[in-house]
Amino acid sequence: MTQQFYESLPSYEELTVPELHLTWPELKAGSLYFGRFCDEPCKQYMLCKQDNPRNPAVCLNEGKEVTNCGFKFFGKVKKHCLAEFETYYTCLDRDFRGLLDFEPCRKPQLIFDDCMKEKVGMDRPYIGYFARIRLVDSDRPRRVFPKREYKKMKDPPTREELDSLVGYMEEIVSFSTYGRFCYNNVED
Amino acid sequence: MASAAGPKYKQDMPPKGGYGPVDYSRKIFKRIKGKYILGGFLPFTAYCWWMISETKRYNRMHQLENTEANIALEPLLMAEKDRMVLKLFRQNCELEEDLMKDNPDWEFGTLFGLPIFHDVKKRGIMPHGYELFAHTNLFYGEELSKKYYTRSQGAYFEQITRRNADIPSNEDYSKNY
Repeated sequence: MTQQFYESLPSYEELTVPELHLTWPELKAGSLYFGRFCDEPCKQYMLCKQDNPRNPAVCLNEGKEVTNCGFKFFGKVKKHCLAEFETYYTCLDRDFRGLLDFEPCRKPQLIFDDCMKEKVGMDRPYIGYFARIRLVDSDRPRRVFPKREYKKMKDPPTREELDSLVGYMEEIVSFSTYGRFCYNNVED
Repeated sequence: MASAAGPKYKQDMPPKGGYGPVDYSRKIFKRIKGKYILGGFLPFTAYCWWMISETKRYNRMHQLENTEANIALEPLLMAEKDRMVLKLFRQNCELEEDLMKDNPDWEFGTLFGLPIFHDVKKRGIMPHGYELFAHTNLFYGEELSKKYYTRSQGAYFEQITRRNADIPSNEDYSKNY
């Protein structure tokens, strides 16, 4: 069984692809544009992950497409507006709380946005774009939630059946409990 | 009175013609009329309510923008993590085989014959916690991390205060330990 598990894992050659060596401020500075640029591969990958969340080996190809798309996007940024991007992410990194807040860096952001619009032809997505439902056409079958099969219980007893039991219960109670523990029944 | 050239004092006296009459008539404070107070108060409260709602909306949008960045980056990071996990799985299998090669009774992936990887429905296995790092020394490099942590903290402090342009050497910080 375990040998099967070992053989089911993909090999090192399948797993080694060029990775994006970027720091968190750089990623966050380009995150919203990245999400819009790589919309389709990201959606396909997340759909795949939704179908099988515990098996990372299934969604390898989709994940590779996502990183490939990330390379394309950050390559474009590097080619066209590198200086603006650098000023933007250094500004983000200057946040003393460590949260990389977007708010105190509006000026470099606007410069970066203009550059992206002119040279790459992309708008910055409006606030709430990623929080909304985004539809996607895919060949993937509709997700079916697993249905649990419950056993059918017995029907509860009717009123007549309960009434017929009353006399029987009284006998049991009188003999078992009252007879033992009540001193009134003791006859000298 | 021995000294004739002493200081000359002057008696304080009332002004010529005497003091004026004392004003003891009743004086009532000038009150603002109620309609003016209401006319100022109600618009001010309305403005404040509007301002509160606006600030709430602004804060929510501000929070949303920062969370959206994380949402957009999630697939990129998750894809990278998946590959890392699979690599570590494979590495762990090889390490376990290598570790127990002298013990022929040991079955690979089992605890004395009891299977560990419970995957009957073929849903896949995702590790928890330090499961993947079972063959590592978790406390390796603790001293190093302490040393570099203090160094980084000091550099950060100087970056904020901007007293010294030069970052001090590593030995200055390691003296405390």
